[in-house]
Amino acid sequence: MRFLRSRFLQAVIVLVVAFCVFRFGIRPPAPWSVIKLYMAVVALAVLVHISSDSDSWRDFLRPIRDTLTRPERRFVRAVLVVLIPVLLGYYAYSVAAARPEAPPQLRAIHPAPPPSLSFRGKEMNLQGLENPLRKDQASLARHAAAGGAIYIQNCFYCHGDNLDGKGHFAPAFNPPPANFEDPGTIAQLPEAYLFWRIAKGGPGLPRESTPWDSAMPAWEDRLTEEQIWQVIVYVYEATGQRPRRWQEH
Amino acid sequence: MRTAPAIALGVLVALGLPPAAVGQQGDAAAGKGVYERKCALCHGDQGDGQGPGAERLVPRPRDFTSGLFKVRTSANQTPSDRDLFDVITNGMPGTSMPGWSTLPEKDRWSLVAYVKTFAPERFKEPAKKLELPKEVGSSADSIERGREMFEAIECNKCHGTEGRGDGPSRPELKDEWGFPIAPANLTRRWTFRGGKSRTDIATRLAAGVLGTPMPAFLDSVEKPEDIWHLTNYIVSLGPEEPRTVSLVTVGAVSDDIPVDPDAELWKTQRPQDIVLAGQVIIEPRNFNLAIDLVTLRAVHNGRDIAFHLTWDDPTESKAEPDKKVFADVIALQFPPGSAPGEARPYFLMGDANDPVYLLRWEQGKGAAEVTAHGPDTLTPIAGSEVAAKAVYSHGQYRLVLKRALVAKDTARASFAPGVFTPVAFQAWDGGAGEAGAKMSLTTWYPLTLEEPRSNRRFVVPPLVAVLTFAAMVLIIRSANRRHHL
Amino acid sequence: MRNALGVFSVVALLASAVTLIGTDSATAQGGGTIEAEVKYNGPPVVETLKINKDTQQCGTDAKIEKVAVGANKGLANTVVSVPTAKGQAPAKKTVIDQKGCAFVPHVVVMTPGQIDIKNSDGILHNIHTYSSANPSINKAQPKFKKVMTEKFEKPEVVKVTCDVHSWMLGWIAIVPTPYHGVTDANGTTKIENVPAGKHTVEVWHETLGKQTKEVEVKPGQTAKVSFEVKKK
Repeated sequence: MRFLRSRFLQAVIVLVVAFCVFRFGIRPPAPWSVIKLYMAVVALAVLVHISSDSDSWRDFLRPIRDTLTRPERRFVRAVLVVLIPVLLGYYAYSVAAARPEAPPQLRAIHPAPPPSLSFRGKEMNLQGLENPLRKDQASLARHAAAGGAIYIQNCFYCHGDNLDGKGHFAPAFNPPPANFEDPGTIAQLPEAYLFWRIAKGGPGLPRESTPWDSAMPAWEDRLTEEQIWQVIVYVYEATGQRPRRWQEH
Repeated sequence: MRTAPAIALGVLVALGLPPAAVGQQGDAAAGKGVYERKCALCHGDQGDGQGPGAERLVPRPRDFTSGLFKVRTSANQTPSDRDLFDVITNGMPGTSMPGWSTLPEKDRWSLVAYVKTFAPERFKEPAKKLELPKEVGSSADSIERGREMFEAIECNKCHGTEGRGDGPSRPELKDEWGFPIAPANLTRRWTFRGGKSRTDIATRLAAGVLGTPMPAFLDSVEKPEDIWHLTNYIVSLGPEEPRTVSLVTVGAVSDDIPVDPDAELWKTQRPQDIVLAGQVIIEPRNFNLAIDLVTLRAVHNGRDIAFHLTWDDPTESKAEPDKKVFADVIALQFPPGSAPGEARPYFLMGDANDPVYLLRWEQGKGAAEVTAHGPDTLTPIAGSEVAAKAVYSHGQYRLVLKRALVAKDTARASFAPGVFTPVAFQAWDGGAGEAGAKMSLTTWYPLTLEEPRSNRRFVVPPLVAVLTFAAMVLIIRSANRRHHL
Repeated sequence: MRNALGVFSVVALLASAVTLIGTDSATAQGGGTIEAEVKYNGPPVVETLKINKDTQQCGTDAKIEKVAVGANKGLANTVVSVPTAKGQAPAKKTVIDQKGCAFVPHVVVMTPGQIDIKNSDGILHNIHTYSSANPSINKAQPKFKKVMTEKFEKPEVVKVTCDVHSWMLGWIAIVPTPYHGVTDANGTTKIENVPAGKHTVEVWHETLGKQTKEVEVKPGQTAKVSFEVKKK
């Protein structure tokens, strides 16, 4: 295991391990730009560590210098002299010939809700607002069923039968319809937040959420207050998610 | 865990047991629970296809009490358990029925068992496996024979001469329940109800589609293998999947851009498929849109920009308000002005404060530049500069809209390389009663102008390679010199 | 030899097509004849439709006779059968043709068994049947497929359509007796060689429904039975 003491090899191993962790260890996969950034930081740290004293630095440089000078490594040297320019040339080509990509969407997905909203002229304070239908547990199943009917008549075209945001209209829309099965959506939000989003739709979003892009209708035009609470009950019931409670804040 | 039943199934199939035998493990009582949670909203508690969602769906949800199933691989009318299982798993492409592969396999088998209880009489006779003729691979000859057969057996009567579902019998077609039914658009394999594989297509041709006007052709072709020639021809009619994009690219050309949509130039340009959805935000809502896909090709030459649009529409209609027939319309929407900031107008044709600029073409009227403050507030811009030419043939529109790259005022959109210009699409099938807010649309897409492709990509990389090579030789030399000192 | 003794019931219809149905005489010894007459107290119901395709074969107007009334208020296209009279099925196959984009005859009656479906038009038709007791059929019949043979094994009335030409409508009545007929343009039909005895005569019309009457058949005599069908 003597070769493991080689500084050069240690540096290479650290870089390879770091790359594997960034590339395969992160779920969902990190974008390449992020991986590149992380790798640059790791490489810098390795260099700083190696060059911290001159012995270690010399140790690190030795295999490189050997490859450049030793007659018995002539073959490796020749391969590198060809291979590195070709790889760099290929990289330059892929950069120069790249087609433009869609610009990233800078958009707040869960913007802060307003403190209150006016629902068909009625002022509603959103802070601390609970779903009134949950008070009566006995009729919750009935409300869920009514909510299901509302959902299937209005919502599933975009949000899907499966509540996964993959309704048959979904491919036409960017941003895509919310996926309620995803633990990052409704499970993170109190029900009052859903009420606001359903009642006011895309046009009610603040500027940082690009209201001009959202295809979410403002349902206050079409659904009553109770119907909106019913469909909220259904969405949680059908996905098995639980709304966030206010006291958890 | 989940692979275990799949492996068991594979073993059974390998042993030559009918897959139906596996289906018997389905538990109808357990299926009832799954059905009520996942299926009843459309198919109804009684399985009669009268759930609360049914009213707005076209095609309507299946009425299980009829025991008639569209997709089957059997020679008689009884579908095999496997057929039902596959439909539950893969859904019915082109309809509102999604695939339920997210449900555990056991639940899906239980659903099969439960669905059968709605029409027990229909399942008394076991499914008889349909024997397809010996498979014929695709080849130019086979496709040609398929085309001849397509004409000889008159598929065009319903599916149209070029297969776009625009045949003369189209308006008369009704399903078993008397509801109008549209013939399949054969150029869009991804919407085939029973799947798009060659075997799927051959099976539908051979056995027909129950409950619909599509008859069985197994005994009605000249030779049995014609089923496969027809299949190969149908497969040749269109791509396997839509060629969707997330960025709309306007290619760069150096010559004049032809306004003729059938000009050679357009055949060399990359098709970009744009998926449209029904407008359901404001009244009247359009749950069953007519035009759900528009194919765009776009080029500019530094002076002009041109958009080539292709879309399927079974009827060519001009405005005839007394007959409730409206004109076919298509529109490209842009924010007015030249330097789009971060904020854009509302994607649904703008609003009172922020208008949009439309490049709009209407059958019978031609192209116009329009300012819209919402779907019902259109104001034509004086002195329209847009040139257009449209062709309609065999259920398809092809249209070119051409305009100067830079507009002369800020009511219009201007285009420049290096800028992402928002673009949205809207379409109306007047023959299907679409007009005003009853339309199909998209949200904003980014659009970019390709810069004329310089030769940089051929110059820079060799230069990089040569320089690197030189640098490496220098390093080696200096290292050796130092080493020998 | 049997042919020589064959009995024929002649069914004349709108398009004056003639269907010959032979019955086996062995069971009809000493039988009598039933002459059925069906009258209707309302006006005929005839719809016409403009045709936009295949006009060479189909013409430019389709005439859809929902209720065809002839001279003397006779109701045509009514199936008359004697379900109580049993006998052997005829040897000759029943035939229905598709001619001029119409089913000819518009109504056929047969005993359980096979039927030949002809396509004289030389264009695509599809035989699409609606039934409950027999499996329904939806088979294409392209121009080169001149005859298709189908089987109906259980008694019922089967509706036949063609989706390519949606106005095409025909009826195949499958009755459990060889003693049957379809009324002609004057609303009459003759059923010969019916075994003597008391029988039930049943009439069925596509839009006006069913009626039955009792009749006594005496050897060598003609028993007249008359029905009055009311407007629905």
